[in-house]
Amino acid sequence: MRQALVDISNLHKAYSAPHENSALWFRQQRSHINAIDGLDLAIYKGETLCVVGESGCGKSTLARLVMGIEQPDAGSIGYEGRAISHLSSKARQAYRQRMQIVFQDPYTALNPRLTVMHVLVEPVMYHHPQLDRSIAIEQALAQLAAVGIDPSLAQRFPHQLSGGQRQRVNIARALMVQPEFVVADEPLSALDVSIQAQILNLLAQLQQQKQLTYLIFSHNLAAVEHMADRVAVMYEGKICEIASREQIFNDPQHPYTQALMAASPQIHTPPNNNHKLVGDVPNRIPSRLGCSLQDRCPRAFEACRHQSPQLQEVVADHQVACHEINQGWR
Amino acid sequence: MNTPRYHGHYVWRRYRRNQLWLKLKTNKVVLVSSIVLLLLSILALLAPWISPFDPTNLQQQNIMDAELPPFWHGQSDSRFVLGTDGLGRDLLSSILYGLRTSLWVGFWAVAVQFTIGTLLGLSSGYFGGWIDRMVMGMADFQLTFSSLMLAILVLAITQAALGAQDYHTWSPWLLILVLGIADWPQYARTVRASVLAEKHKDYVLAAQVLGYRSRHIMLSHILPNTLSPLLVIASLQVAYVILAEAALSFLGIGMPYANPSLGGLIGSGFEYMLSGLWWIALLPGLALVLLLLSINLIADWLRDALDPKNIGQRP
Amino acid sequence: MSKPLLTVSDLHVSFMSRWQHEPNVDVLRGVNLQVRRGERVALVGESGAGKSLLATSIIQLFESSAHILKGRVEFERQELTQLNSKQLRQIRGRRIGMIFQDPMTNLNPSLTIEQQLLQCILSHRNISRKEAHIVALHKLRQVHIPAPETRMQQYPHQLSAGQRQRATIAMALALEPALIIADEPTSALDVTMQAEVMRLLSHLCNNNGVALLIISHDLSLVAHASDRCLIMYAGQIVEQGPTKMLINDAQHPYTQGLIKALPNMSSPGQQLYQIPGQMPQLQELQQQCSFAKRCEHAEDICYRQAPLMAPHGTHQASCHILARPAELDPDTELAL
Repeated sequence: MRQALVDISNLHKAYSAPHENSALWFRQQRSHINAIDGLDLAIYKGETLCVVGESGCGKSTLARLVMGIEQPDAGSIGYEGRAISHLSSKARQAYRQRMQIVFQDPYTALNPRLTVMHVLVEPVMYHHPQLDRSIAIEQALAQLAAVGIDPSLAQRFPHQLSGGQRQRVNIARALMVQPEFVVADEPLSALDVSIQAQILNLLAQLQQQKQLTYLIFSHNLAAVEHMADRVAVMYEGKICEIASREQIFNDPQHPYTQALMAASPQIHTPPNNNHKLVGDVPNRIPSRLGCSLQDRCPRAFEACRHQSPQLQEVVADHQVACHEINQGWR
Repeated sequence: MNTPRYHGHYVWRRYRRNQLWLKLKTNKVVLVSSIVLLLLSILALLAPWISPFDPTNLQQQNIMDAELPPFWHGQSDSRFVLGTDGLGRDLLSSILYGLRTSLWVGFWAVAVQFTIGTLLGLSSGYFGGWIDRMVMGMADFQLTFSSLMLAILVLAITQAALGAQDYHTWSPWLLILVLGIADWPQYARTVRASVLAEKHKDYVLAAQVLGYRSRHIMLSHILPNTLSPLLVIASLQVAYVILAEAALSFLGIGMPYANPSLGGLIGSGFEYMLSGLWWIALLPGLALVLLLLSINLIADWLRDALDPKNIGQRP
Repeated sequence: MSKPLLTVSDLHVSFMSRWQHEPNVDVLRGVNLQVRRGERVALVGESGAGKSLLATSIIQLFESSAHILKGRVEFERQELTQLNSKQLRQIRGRRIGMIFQDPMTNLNPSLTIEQQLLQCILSHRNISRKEAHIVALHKLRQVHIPAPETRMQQYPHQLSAGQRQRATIAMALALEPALIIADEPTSALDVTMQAEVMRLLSHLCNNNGVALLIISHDLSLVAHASDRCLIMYAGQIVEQGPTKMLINDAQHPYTQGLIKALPNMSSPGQQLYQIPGQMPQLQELQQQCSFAKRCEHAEDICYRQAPLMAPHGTHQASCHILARPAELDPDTELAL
């Protein structure tokens, strides 16, 4: 059994928000929204794990929890076997440089007042104040070359760069501290199609060169199919299916996964109406019993309303959390 | 840890990029105001060297020279270009020194307000929680009182406590301190609002993930993005503080006679107005008006020029 | 063949520069397009190509700094560029419906859905409130919003993003226009919602004989929701033709590049095809093919002269290399 680089176990994180329909402000009920609701995930060294999910599934929360920007309410996150979820910020420092994140919106991820060069030199100078500045500048220029940005752009401000260039700068910044684990939160969604291809190629190249482990959140199934070693499908704070790339795309089991596959636009295949889910993504009703997909699932039955399904292995390395499948009804 | 030289460098480049200079050149009114302000500042700076007399030296004054009119008047004395006051002090020198005092108090008081207000506002916005509640509570409390009333109260009590002699030695610093502390809440509130908006942006998260400490993030990353409205407030406040100091001196609890300020000159010259010796109060008054007008015009223009929505617009 | 519903001819739109010393920026540089009655046309291009500007130019809703240099926009036999604002108001909403991208800001947050729908209907039709209410309800049902009576009384923030977009579609269809222009209608939605809404839009237009001009940056999305497709690059249409033909047999190097760059066009683990460089800033363009710098087939003439739109087989493309007669190196991928 391989040792996971990052091991997430039974993670819980809830936010309280005012109840949607409460009109009387002084009697506002606060409902607890379980952004992460018992999530288990293991990421192995050197792999690319893609987490697929739509808005509201809790991807961003998960990304923040993994990066230590927020603390979970329950459960643990382990890095190389050591628990890092509840470390003090001082103790966390040791891990900060080993894991970095690339954000979705390339524009807000860069400080509008700082030049590209400043953004890249700063992490090096901050962590190694005794270093000569010229060395840091050299490293920054090398990193710019590695992500395919012309060094003449180093003195520009973010608003003078295109979306693709900004995203490259974001990637370069994340790499300046030489991390081994990189989380990317929807790195492609804000980019044009032709630029997406460039960034995907860049990410693959960098992974090979620097032996990186990737955790990529994306709802772009075509990109996921291209990049991933393993794929996890996330819905309402839980993983509902996790398997290797071939297994997920050739033989999706979970109703939600099947619906996602069917809905994903394919240029040559016309969309099919099978596996449709009823209704919309719900407005995050406070958590209740049973499977979170129960209202929309075409195959829901009695057990689905009473108990939340757990991830169970269906085939080797292919886990699904669904009562219908796990009870062998298929 | 940080590189101050780099900071200034990019701030400069940003203003260049803003084409602030171009906007300044094309707005005639503000251009004239800037030149006037520059002139007044130079005069004030060089006051000790260019004044014909030393108005702080009471021994230089001769009561026989009192109440002489300005140079265009028949009975003027060629030594005193703008005339003298009731005790024989040269008005021109007094006005120059007065300008100096006004700008000095104005600048430093605003520096104090700015520093206190910005630091408190930054912490309040960034950390939230009890810090936020405490700071905003203090700010709300202070904002319910008029800062001038507060200043009068504090200074009057201090004067009574210290006695006139000691008070007058310390007045410039007391004024700076009191006027500085009186008006920090505006800065704090403005900064806090900006910080709250910036705090959730990805670049702040990225900075946290890169391991930067809170202080570094607040000062090097968030603060530069909140500077524009702060600069506008600061520039408007310079005019306000100068006016406040003038008012306090006019009332007698500001600068002493021996250390002339424009307000003090107006105050002591006021009683001579009805006797027809108009220049004693009016000329310092004109100087004050000129100073305040130019500062206000520039500050007002700066607010529009630095508004991010207006960057790139035709001036 | 009947006259097209909408004809845009040689449209040039420019942005006035904010500074005296900077030249004006030509954003649309000679756009020609046609939409027939009941036809579903897709306009595909990346950001910066000028698609949204084209949409707003058609209905003559310009920003303060944009204006038409030359060109015509003919709709239902009326020349839109010549109409005054009163006449334009009667066309907008009534004859041409618009759907914008962001469902959050599409709808007025302080009015209920019913109020907005009714406002829309009553401002163009002379019917009673009760009748308008029935029409509104009917439209909401058509867009498959569950429990429409309840939803009508709710405010936009109480609906999900998908429902809001559907309500917007209902509003656009409320007056039964002849043409609907949808600018990136699904970009802000999730994958499952995207498919739903596209399908809905496409079917409604088909069933009611409403022409649809759908603008998108994603070719895969509109591939099965449109009859004809136009590819836009740097302010010009570079290729147009029946959608299926265009996808299976793209002629213009840019279109080919777009299709080849899609991740499912390469096997996993392989480097994706990428079009080098990026779309030029609109100020930089001169008398040349705007794609020349990024094109792998570019030749001398491409840098000296702008190509014209010419027919090639089932569709039209503007490319010098294509326009050449038969002798062609069999190794290149261009076909004639």
